[in-house]
Amino acid sequence: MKCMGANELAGETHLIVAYAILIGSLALYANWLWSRYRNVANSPASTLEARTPHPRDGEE
Amino acid sequence: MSYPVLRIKGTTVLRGSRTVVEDINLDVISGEILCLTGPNGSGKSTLLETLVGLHAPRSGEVVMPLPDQESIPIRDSRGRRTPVPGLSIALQTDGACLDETVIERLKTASMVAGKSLADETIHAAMEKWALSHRSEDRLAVLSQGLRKRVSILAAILPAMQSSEPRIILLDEPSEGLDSASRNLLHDSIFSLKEKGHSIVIATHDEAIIEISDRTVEISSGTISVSGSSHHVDDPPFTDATPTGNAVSALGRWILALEMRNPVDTVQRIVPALLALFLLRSIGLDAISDGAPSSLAFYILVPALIAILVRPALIDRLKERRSGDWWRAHLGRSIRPLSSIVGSPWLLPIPLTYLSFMVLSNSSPDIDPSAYAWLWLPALSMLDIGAAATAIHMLVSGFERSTAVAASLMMAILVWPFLMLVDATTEILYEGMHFDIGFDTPLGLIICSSLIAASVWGAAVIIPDE
Amino acid sequence: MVRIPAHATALLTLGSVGLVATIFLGITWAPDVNPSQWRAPAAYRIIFLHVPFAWTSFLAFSMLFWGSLRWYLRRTERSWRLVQSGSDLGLLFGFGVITSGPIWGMAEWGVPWDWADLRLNTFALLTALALFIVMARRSQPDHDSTRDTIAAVGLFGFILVPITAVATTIYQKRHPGVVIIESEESGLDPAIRTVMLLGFVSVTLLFIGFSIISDKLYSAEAEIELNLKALDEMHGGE
Repeated sequence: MKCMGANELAGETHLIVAYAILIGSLALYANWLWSRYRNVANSPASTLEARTPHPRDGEE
Repeated sequence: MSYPVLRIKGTTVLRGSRTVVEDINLDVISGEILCLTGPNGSGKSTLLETLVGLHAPRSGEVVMPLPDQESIPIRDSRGRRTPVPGLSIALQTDGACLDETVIERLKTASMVAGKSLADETIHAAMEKWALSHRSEDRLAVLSQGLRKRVSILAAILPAMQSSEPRIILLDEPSEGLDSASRNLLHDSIFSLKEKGHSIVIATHDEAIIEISDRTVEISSGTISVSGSSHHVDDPPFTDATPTGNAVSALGRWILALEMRNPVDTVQRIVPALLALFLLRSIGLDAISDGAPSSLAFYILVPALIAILVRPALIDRLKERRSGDWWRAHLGRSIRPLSSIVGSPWLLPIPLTYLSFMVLSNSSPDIDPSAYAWLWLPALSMLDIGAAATAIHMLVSGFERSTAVAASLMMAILVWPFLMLVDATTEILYEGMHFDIGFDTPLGLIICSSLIAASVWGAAVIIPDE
Repeated sequence: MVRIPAHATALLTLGSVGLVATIFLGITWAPDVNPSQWRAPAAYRIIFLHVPFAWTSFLAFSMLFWGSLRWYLRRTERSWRLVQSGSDLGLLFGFGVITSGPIWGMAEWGVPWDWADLRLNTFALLTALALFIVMARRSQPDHDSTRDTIAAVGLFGFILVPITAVATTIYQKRHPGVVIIESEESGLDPAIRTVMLLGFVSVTLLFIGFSIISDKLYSAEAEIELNLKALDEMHGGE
């Protein structure tokens, strides 16, 4: 308890790990949203109404 | 005199993402034979099962019309649900667990219908349907055709012996039957009609369609009715709640299956004993060196493991749609009932005493009368067990119930368990006493039970059965 | 075609900038706490994000429960999208709370978990439930019956909150709380409070931005699924 240096160091490691987890999970989620966005944007079925019954014909 | 016994009003039903029937209206009239026809996959079975409330409609409702009072909601899109009074149903698949014997199935079906038939009556019926030589055999060893006979006989037997009008629903009854049985089936259907019962049959069988009063043709989500019916208003069916008979039939059914094939007990005991022996091999010193509560914790852990296991009952209710058969007859009450009867009643107390004997190491700190009261926290474990069973049942509502992690919903049960650990610690080191308070054994046990009971209540009341 | 609304992107940008500022100010500007009163003085800075995360996960869980209730009563697509976004975001922020909490607990109390801490326990249960719902949604066919069961689980979770509160309170009576944490908030240094407020605003902005985008994406994905079904039928007819 009296060994302040070790204490502070322990606290810092905890702080870094916690921040990394929090920021990292936000980043992962954002990345997941982004990949879903690309999937949706590139999906051939997203512009179905504009096309003839054959899905693979007339792709832009 | 004829009157509507069941009414479908503006009902749309989806199966999966497919709309099977859309905005249909249909009455089932007393004393009629009503055939549901249409090509395979057109929705005959769905319509039949909707009549008894097995499917939640997206819109509209199924009711039992009553004169001068509000009709009984069999099922509607707002989640109201009542089992159809006086109903017997034979589903397309057996609607029975294959561990049942033929005679058990027939007795169960009669009890559920509120009839306790004499053995002679049942044997005579079996004789007629050429089943008596198989009466003590389990359904698992019977051929498809024989099982079909059992399921039809189970549906029509109560009505055969009943003077009050009943409703019988048969899904593809002639499928898989030989010609003699088919003839018997046609005769039986006709004589049921003569007795004033209403019979609804989903079928392809021309001979049945021929003897029917009306046919309902289903195609692409709509129905067209042919044949005529005369309406006269409407004497009531009264008793809408499942009878005590039906409830005790479910209890007996669950216990009989477990006694015949004790899968549930074995599945629970094995991991519990494994845990106990692992704890023992850590060494008694390691256990007794811990905090005062650690011995109580270790003593209760095997019982906890046993009660958290997924109950075998869930699989029994899924086998050959036996759960749907019960659901059709009992409605909502199946979930609370089976979550209680399906819980491991016999295990926590002996397991707790066993682990006390194995782990306590006759420590001098332990109150000499502790063993006389250990059954009390162990008994309270049963409440946690019922809550766990209810959660398992909630989760089993998923179509792919093996693909979800029920344990994630169990975390709440940690608190009642920890309270029992505290109560057991008190009992072990201070002895049992009967003051009520948050730090007395009795108070903790009561709190633990109440919390487990609330979890149980939430898990059985919310889901739309 | 899906279009991400410009204001959602703007909220995300603002939120991210605010988040970076929170961390920066939290480390450089917010004063140290008195080392004699705290076992791990440096770790206290976790609260600059931990508390805002707890707040937003509360928002997400509310969204989940509101969606479940609406689905149960009305069965509309909109309410189902609330369940979808609410469970995703509840898992995201709830995970943040129940990891950063114990990390701080390890540093400050020496034990990661306090069974008598209501907030920790409630968030853990709700996060487990959100994880359950996310896993169930991904593993099950998307039918009305599945949605009904998931909505039932959502409502079950809602009932867990008061049950947890009661359970934890009773348990606490026997095991007094290990440490009283944020109850001294009112006496906090103004700089600490400012940074915390900045954290609150930033994480809330992120939450709103994420919710809008998630809702749009789920809506677009549902539309695509319908189109794919139409294609299935066309192929079936050929």
